[in-house]
Amino acid sequence: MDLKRYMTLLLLTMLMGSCEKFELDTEADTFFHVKIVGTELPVLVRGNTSSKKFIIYINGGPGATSLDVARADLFHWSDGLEENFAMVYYDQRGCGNAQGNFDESTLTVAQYVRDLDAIVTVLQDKYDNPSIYLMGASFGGYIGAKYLMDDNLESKIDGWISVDGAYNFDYDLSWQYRRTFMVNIALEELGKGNRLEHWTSALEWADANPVITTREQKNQLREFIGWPGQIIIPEEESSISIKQYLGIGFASSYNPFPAFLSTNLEIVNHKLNADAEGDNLISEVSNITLPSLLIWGRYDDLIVPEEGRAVFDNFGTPVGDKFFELLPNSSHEPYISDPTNFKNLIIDFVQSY
Amino acid sequence: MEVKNKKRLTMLDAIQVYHEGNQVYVKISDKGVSTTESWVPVKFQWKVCGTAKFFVMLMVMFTSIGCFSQNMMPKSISVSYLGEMVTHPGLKLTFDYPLTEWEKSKSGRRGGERRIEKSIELSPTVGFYYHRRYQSGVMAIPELKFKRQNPKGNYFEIGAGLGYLRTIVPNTYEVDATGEVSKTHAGHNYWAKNLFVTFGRELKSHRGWPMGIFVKPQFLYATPNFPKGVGYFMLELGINVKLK
Repeated sequence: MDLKRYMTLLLLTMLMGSCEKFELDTEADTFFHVKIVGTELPVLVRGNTSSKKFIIYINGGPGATSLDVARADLFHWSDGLEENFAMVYYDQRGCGNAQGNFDESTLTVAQYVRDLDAIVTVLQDKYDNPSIYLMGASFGGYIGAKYLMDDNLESKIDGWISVDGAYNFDYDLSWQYRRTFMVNIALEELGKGNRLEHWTSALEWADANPVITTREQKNQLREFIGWPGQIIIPEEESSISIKQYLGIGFASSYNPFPAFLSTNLEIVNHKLNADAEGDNLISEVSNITLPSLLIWGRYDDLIVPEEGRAVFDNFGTPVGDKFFELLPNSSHEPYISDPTNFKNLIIDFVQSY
Repeated sequence: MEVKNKKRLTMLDAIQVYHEGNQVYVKISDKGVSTTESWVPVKFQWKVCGTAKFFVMLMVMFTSIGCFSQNMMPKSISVSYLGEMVTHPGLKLTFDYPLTEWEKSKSGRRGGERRIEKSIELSPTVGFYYHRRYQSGVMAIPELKFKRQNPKGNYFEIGAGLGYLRTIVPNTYEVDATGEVSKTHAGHNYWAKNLFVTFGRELKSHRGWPMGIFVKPQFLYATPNFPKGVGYFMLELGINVKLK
């Protein structure tokens, strides 16, 4: 191929690639950026846009990425969720392939909420006001909850899906919930006749330590619960093939360098955790009144389901429109350990509202 | 201005840079005729604002390219496929100007003598790439490289560059204070620094034009970007044509 032909082909490819269509389609695949306060956030809309039900996935971390997860279909959401609904993936400010040299002072939860709202607004505009659902996992749950606690913003959303969400950054209180978690687990395991000596010791220790504050106490509690795969907490490891790795690196819209070989994760994680530290939304979620599905892994030792249950009880949503689902074979990431039940819960919820 | 006892920094005819202590002088020859009056003292001030730095850099870069084109034919020109992350296509042009060249003789394994050609070259480059859905980039990067070529025509280069990269972010929307959504242009200006190696081979003369092929993997780091910069891996595959 001579140079002239090569150039023509290249220009044609560039022109074709620069046109993204916001269509209602059963197999949509649309990519755009949202420019806001010094950065461009990449957004991928994939799946069944003709359903006019859009689920925005707010990843956790903080500082983790979404677009690579979508590109590799790491959680197999193309099967099930994307068939029924349009899934919206985006890389948050400072993460993954978000671009620009923005001011680090904008790494705040409030700005992340404004970023999310800009994406919601663009989706409303481009897809003629579809039903929009937020799905926040872990720290993404905190961003989503903060969004929904603003009445004006909540009114734009049709449903809230919280996956092992973070609502409380009062760490002393979290350790109390973890103690309750251990006691409940011990009672369950004793009821099943498992490791009687171990769990009896755990209960005795819990009786003697009503408040968990010291490093020794925290380590001892961990000894009783054990690490994932050791005693009761299931291991949640998603597998990614070499082909998927190569696909992300060489044949996708992704530039792996800023996503994986940068210090941005560390900085974002530090800044957002510092911003959230001390905040406790457990009682404040009474301001949230929209239909809500809270999914929790029974063995989530990071944000324990006992804490999740307290959050759920305080939700302002009418009782018939809020649901707390405990997945018995999961820990912090039920979309990895129990994908079928996880997806079924979401499909049922979104189709109902 | 009379220039005496100054130490020469470059081997170029068109642009000569000398220094005397901390003062640097530049002489740009006018079609080979130069006078002492054309010496210009240059003051380097690095702590200028980003925009000013950018324009100064562009001026220096394009002035030097312009001088080269008027007064000096490059020794060779390269045209290459520029693949950002290998597969995202682009094109790059490179103009090679040797600053200094020398030869070294080595005794071969069978007793013969091998002449190794070595040079240091300055190579202004221009190029672009297209990464679908991520960004397009246009860049102008002067590169400085060391080249070593054996008698068989195989050569190796190692070098670095510093220049300018402009990115264009596609399909960008923004929301104004009233909630109105509009399509907007987005992109960023960067200092682009690259490090590269080249593995090449000279081919037999084609229609009187000595040609070569090469592969040139490189890492490019663009600043400023959150948190400090953004990295790219690029691969060039190209042909090189000797002009003189």
